Amino acid sequence: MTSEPDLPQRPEVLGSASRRALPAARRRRSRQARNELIAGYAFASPALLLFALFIGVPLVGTFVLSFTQWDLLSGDFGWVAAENYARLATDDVLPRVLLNSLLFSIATATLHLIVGLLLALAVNTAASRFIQAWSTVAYVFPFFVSAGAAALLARYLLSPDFGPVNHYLAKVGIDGPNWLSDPVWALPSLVVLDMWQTAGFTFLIFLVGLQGIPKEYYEAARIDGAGTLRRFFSITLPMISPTTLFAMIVSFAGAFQIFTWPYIVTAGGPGGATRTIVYYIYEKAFRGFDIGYGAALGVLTIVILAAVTVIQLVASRRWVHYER
Amino acid sequence: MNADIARARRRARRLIERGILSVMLVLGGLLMLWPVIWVLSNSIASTSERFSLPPVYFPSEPTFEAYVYLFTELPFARQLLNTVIVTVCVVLGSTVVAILGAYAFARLRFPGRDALFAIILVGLMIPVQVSSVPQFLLVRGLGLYDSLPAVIVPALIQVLALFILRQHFMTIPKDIEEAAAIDGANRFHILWRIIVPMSWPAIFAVAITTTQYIWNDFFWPNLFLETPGRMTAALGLVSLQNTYASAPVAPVFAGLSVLSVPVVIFFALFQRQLRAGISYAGIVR
Repeated sequence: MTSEPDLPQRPEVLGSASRRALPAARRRRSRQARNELIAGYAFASPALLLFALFIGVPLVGTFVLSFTQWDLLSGDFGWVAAENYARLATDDVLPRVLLNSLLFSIATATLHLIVGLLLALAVNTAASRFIQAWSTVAYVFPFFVSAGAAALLARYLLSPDFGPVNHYLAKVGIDGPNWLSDPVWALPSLVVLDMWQTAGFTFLIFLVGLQGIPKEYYEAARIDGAGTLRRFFSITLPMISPTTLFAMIVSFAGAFQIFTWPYIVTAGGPGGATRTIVYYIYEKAFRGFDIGYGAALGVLTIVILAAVTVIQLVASRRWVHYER
Repeated sequence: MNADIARARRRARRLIERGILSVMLVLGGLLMLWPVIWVLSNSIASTSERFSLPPVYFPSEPTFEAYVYLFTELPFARQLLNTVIVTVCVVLGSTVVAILGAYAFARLRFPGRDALFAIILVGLMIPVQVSSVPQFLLVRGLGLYDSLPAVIVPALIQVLALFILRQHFMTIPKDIEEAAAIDGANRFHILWRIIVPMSWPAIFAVAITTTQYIWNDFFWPNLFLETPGRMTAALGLVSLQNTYASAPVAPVFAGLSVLSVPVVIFFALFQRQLRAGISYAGIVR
């Protein structure tokens, strides 16, 4: 985070003549500081209060609930100390759930970066106003189609009865599986659905990032005899590395929170093949009323996300270049 | 002479390269648009052509009965209105909250400012499902269950909006405000009359991200809205489809068209502003 050093607002020149005026000036300045303090809290208070009420307090609540075996209804929480955390270790379903979430997140985050960057490079190279407009519309619009609608759409498209996807695959000689009820293909299907809906945004971020690179860099490199590949690896990649880091963290964290696809498209199935961590939390809390364990799963999720983000940030020091 | 030939050859190669890429991008875009085209043509196809394989893209006898059914027999119009109400309230409300907060975090000095901001940023990374039980109890306790405020009020704090606007406000030179302060303008005045008018592109970008968040959020509406007439549109379609196994599919297709085709049109109209908005928002830096 970039935060500015607290500079004194108006450096006052204190000559010997004005030394007697000092107490008054200091009083004025402290009054000003107090004013600013009150204004600061006042301006920030709506955001702070809403944050505390709807994000902060529930988070603390989750932590507290993770030490109970509450069922959402009874008056007694049923304190069980760290029992829920011990259950994490013996839960037979959990390894598969974590694997699903990790596979889904790694696959989508990686594909996001590759597809997004390739699309952006292609659009930039094509260098045509029409292609740029067309690509912004055609590749980014699904990002604004509500996830619920996109999920329904995917169910119809991949339907084994009247789904057109398998029909066209058959045309080119591929016998398409029953995508959503095949334990092998269900999770990859959701990855494709996620790519359809969100990869366009990564593309847009990269496109704007590429267009921010000064053209002179390329010209200078060309004069020095650098080829296309050399220019890409020595100019383009380092210049967009901050964008890449941003896209990577955002798409990984977003993918790790995926709920709508398993909920609407596959209901976590078949046989738990698409049960992700947040869907599992939802099942435990709102279907099984196993509030305490659901909360412990939530705490686990936060720990994993925090760890992954820290790893990404630390590793990024090696490959992200900020312009000075 | 030789140099001329080399340059001409290079130009020709670049033209071919651009042509190939353009064709590929157009085809890829058609593939992205194809699900929407498929759903739209099926929604106006007559019963005999609907879901036929190979798919019919230009129905011989287009009919709008699925739309009539959707808007007369089902509360879809009301659900669309609900979606509009939620979107407008959240975008306006959360943007005002974010502007005020961002100004405080970017410009005013008060104890604990940076620590508070860091804590708020953590909220960006945490999935909503993690603390959904306490949030559920809270919303129910406030008497908001099964009403639109249940999805509006908790969304009034948009951490991403706060972050983007704070970063943007920090790029505005301080001299401008100081000059106004000397002229006797108070902070509120400075914010609304000077800072905000200078920041429309960033505010527009923030409104776009918030709209996307609201449309994309399925978890909260699904958890809080129970009565069909109080649901948002996407939730209404999903629950219609879930409630009746033999649900009339055509109205669902009509509904999906209503939810996706306008987005394509909106993008066609505003694609340039969208790209500008992203670079202004300072997302890319």
